Amino acid sequence: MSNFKEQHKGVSIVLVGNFSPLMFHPTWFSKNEVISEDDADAVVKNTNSNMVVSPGLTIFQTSNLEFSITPDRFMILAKKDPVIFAKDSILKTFERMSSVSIKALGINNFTIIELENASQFQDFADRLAPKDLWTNLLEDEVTGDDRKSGLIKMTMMKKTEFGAINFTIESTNKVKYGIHVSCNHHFDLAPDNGFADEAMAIIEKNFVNSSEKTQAVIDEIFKDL
Amino acid sequence: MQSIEQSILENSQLKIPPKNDEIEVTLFGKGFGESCLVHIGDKKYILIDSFLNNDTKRPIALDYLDAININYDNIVLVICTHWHTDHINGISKIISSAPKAHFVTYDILGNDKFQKFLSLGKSVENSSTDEFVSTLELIRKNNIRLVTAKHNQLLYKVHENILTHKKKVEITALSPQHIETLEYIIHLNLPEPKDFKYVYPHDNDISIVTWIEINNDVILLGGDLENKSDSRKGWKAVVLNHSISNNKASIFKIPHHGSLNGHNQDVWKDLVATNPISILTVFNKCDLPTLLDRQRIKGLSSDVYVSGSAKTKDFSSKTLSDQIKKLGTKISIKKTTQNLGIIRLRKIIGTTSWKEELYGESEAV
Amino acid sequence: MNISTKSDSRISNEISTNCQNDEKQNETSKYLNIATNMNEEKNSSYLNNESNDSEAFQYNKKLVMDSIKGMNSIDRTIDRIDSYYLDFKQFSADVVNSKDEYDKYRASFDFEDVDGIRSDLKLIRSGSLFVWIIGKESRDRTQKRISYIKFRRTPSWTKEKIDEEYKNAINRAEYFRKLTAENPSKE
Repeated sequence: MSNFKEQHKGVSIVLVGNFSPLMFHPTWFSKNEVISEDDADAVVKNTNSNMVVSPGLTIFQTSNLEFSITPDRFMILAKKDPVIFAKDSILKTFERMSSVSIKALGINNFTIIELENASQFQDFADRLAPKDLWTNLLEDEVTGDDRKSGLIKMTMMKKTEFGAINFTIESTNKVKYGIHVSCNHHFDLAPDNGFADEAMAIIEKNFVNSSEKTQAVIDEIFKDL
Repeated sequence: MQSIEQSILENSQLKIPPKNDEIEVTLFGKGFGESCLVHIGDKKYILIDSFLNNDTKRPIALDYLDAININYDNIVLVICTHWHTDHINGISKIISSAPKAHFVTYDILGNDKFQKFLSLGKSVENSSTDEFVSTLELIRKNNIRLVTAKHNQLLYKVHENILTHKKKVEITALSPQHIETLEYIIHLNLPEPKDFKYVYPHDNDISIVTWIEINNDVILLGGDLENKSDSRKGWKAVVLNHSISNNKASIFKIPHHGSLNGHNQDVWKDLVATNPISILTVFNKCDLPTLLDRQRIKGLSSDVYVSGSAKTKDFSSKTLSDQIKKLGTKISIKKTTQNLGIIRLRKIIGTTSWKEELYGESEAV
Repeated sequence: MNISTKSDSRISNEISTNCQNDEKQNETSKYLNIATNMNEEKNSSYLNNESNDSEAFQYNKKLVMDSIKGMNSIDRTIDRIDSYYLDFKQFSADVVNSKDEYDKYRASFDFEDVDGIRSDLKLIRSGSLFVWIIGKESRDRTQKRISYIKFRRTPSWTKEKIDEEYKNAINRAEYFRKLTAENPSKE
């Protein structure tokens, strides 16, 4: 039986390539059926919506998606369910732009794990990073449930055929005794195949698999708590 | 903790394989899914349709053959009656596990429009067209022997004196009729560029009905074929054009989950023996068979067995209903359960009595 | 230059390490407001005319902006419509719990259950995919029960994709025509 709760899952998809942020106005997205007219209207006509559309940067958010585009980076973030909209939106965006140059992409799954208490929280941190090597530097600061110093963040990388999987664990104040877990599945596109249609095929093939892998790793590292 | 499916398949009685001279009809159902195995002698099996075991994610028919210790090479014929999700899941796995088996499907695989439809019918996430296309690609890659089904088409034959029981075995398709496949193709809609990928066809019309005759015993498997007002189609056409045998079916796999749409009185008069054993699977999505369906079928049969019945109480359904109530919406829900049920009928060739066994979520009406 | 394919680390860091309160909205807007001010002039050229249906628009805008703030815990989601009735403004579908693939239901919904029905009405037809969110949403330290449907906007077929699939289809058809010609089924 698990002694932790998974909260606030989200997914983002990031493309590295060549983009024109000015083009990606919310109205463009609604005209191309990526987001609804209502969502686009709500963003455009609301002066508090924090929308930016410019040659160097476009950012805006709808009810469950965040869009962020720079000349070399395109990101859609689904910050809450239904996270599958991140995949739908990016596939829909590029379905008629198959020749856009893409060098790499990342499918990022993140979740916040809420542990039960301080003791469990620190036990977990000690398991990830035993403090024996650090006592000379940090002394008692790294012992006890109410310690003031210790592990903030760590990343493990697994090399894959197409890139790498980077698994990052860090503390978060979003929830009490919270641990932010994110999994970046990175794919490098071959130079002669570095186009949007290839990127979309990778996303289509790996989106579900990526979240399953993330879940499997979470289940594994948190299982003995 | 053992799953329900595991405990069913580990039942000591179930694990007993058939004798070489024993006919066996085993019908698997789980509320959404239908699969049937027929033993024709000497451990040789015919497989009709497939669904996946919830537990192992493998075709239930293969798990059953594992349970009774029968090698997959003994599957001699695989019939895909139609490619609805509840009848086709796992068929490609079966084909790859039993590459020597002949595969039976429609007579329209050579039609450009149908193949285009299959290619375009793939949905964003899992779909029966994907399974069917995978199966066709496997047939192409592994040179699997294909037999196309149409009315009165002989699908498989074993002559007398070949099997231990020395009796003849003939398996014939009674449908679809030529006009039905023609109209199916004509009415098939290919999506326009702006359409969604997934399109729902109506292909019960070309569902394959199978007539299995072993000596003088006949097993009639009704697929999902329905009645049509046009006598050139559906069950009316099957009855009118029936000419392959004077024998009648003592085992009747009721078509279309016992629905009234699948019922034809002339089938019971001309193709089926008086008071046969009737077997069918539940289809939860449409609440089939209804109480009236069960009563109707019972009135025509000596025994009726249903597999995949949903009897268990469900806690999650109550929880969801309570949530909906508290929200004050008008959303209505009905739980669709997927509990495995197995009906197995066995008889020594030449005798009259069938031995009837029920496992898991199956019941006598 | 190595550009990260991870989520914008600046935003995510602000969320994960600087959040002293539950209002996620405040943290992201700190970053966004700076950028907005610099680009106000450019923005104004994209402002559309006000919607004629101003009251409905205002209500909808509020709903959308409110829901941006909330984080939700989802109990059940998804599937696709197989029947719909324009007259009765209802549709039905098989739905499955995204957290438990064996927790399946047959469900009927009113059009009113659809979030943003005004722009999603055209998506209500057989085969459409949707997500049914039902559970609780956290906003400003309070939890609220929610249930709404959002239709998925999935890629549609482009002419190029159709042409490619047609090529595969015709190859397959040709193969099976040849196969059945070489091995005709006899009655």
